[in-house]
Amino acid sequence: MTDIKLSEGSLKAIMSGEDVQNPVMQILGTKKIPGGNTERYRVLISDGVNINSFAMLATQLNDLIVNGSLCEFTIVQIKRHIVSGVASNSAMNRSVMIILELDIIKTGTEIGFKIGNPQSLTADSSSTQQPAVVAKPQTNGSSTAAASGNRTNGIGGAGGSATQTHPIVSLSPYQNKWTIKARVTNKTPIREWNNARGSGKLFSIDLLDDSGEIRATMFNAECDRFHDMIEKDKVYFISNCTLKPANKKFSSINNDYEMSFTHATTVIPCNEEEVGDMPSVKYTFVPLKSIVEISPDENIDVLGVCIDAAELSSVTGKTNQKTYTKRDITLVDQSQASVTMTLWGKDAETFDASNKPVVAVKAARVQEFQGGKTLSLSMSSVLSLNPDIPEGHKLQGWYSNQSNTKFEPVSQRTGGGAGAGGNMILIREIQDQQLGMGDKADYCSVRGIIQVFRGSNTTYKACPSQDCNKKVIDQNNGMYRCEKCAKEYNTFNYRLILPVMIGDWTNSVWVTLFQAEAESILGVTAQDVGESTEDHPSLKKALFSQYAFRLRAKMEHYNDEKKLKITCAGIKKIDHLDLSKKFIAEIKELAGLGSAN
Amino acid sequence: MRYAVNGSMLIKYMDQSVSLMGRFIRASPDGRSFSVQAPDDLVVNCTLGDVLTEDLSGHVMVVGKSRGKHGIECDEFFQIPSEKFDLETYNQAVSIIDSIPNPWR
Repeated sequence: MTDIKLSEGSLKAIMSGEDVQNPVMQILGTKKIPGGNTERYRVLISDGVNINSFAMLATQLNDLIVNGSLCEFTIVQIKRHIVSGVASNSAMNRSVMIILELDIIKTGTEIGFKIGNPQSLTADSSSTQQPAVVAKPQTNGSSTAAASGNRTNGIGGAGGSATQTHPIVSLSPYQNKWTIKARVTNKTPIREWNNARGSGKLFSIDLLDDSGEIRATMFNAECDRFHDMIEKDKVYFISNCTLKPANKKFSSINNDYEMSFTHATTVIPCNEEEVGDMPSVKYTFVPLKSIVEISPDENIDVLGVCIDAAELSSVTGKTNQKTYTKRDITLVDQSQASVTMTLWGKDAETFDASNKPVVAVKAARVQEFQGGKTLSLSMSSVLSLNPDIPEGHKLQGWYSNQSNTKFEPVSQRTGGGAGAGGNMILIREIQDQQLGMGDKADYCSVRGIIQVFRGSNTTYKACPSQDCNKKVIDQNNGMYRCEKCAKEYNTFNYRLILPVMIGDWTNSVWVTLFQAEAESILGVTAQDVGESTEDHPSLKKALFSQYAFRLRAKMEHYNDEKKLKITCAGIKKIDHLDLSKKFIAEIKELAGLGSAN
Repeated sequence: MRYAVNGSMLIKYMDQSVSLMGRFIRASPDGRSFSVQAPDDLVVNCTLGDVLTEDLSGHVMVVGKSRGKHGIECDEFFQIPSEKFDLETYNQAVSIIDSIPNPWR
């Protein structure tokens, strides 16, 4: 037997809304809740008299399950919990207990049995359910669950400046009684939309506290109600909003949820003395050098010294005939890389690079163009010049000590950047990611082994004039005609066009190598290959060698037939040490080993 | 079957076949053993059956039986011709492989 006593009857008290301090309970099982973006676990919990299967673990405790310390029969002391209403698909609404913090008193393996004979609590819980938690089933099927708080609560919360506030990270659709104290770090102008489903207007704000950040959006009535009231950089108490999973496409905010203001939402400005040390804009700066590895359309925070700015220019939108003004600027930082960033509209017009300002951007969008990465400001980006932050001053100091530093451009349009540093994918992923299936050509890097050469016809006779390289037609009289130059020559150059199959352990693809790349793997000139009457021996020698290939994939049409054409845009020898280091880093990340070893 | 190890893993693989990559430090005066610096910077003593007759330097791979803190009872050793070998990275690789019971599964 065990000498630990469970807090009998505490479950019933908790579920009927009473406050129980630090109850001791036994875990009888855990189950992952399917679906959703985040992992969540449901636990079967017993106090010795009752069982509650509607208990959930806050996501920050997930690792307890993952590492196995919260196995069956474990006895825990619950330090912090909340009870919340959740809309379920069935008619019956249930209260769910969410465990926010717990201590493991004794592990399940030590206990090894179920204490007492607990009965299910759920049967009578519906009758004792606290009336304050009313949840309406949402009509919107996509949101997992959202409880729109009840009205009396909302008004009660209006005096809420004195009430305790919740950290932003703790917000989830599974609870509805909360107040946050947060700073508005960004506020968008009002936007109107007009589509098949109707029209309306909206604006959104980004909220920040010490724990995290969240995006809040206001539609129509709320848009009118709050737009003039909410000011950027001010701190507010906010309560009673609905939460839903965030659409990462529209938001760069580091939160799995976003909120919408409702008619019940209350917003109270926070007076000066209550503000305390609320953080202002929170950046997670990405070194410019590593932008290469970030996939397009992601939003990142960057900090750099602007060393150059292009002239103001304008472009016309593709979908509408609006004209946008833009300016490209070049940023550098301590990672010794430079990146091109595009500013739009007012930011572009007023930008002055003459005194090389430090530029901090919240949520700049990464874009890819012909193999190079660039940044662009989007609707949600926030640009600030010479920001008063330690990183900014450090960068300024660093830059003023640089004289002839060479910066590695990450925005260069190349095919050549096939280093191991680039984002390597598996050959199978060319298919999986549908590279080249779009309108534009896609670039990627793979590590592959040359498996097969398509033997004959690896060269063609090309126009000898500079920069033409078009195929010439043999006139069979010692003259060769180039259609492009519309000239006849008495000579020609051989050029390589070498189809090779490259493969890794996942798949193999046919890739066309041109002159420079083909010569580099064969180790001979195109002229040598062209002049040999049979297959050049260098072909055989190059078989089964491994390289890092930069590939360009594009769908091409030949007589109504679609074919994915992959050409090689660059080739590099493999740096095994670099690659090993990369693998080790990846393994550690996947296994969660951290940097400890 | 033998295990790739670093210096601190020798105790774990006591009396089993191991192979250890390291930097040659020096041979003993009697030529019956030599010491190498293991990837984790520990100094490992390698005892030989026969007297050492070659000149060793740089990177050396030692194959033999682990005798725990007494080092390795050496069956074979190989002089690695290239200086280009990153012991630190190798050490991490060895540690990772060791931390996974069956890396092939």
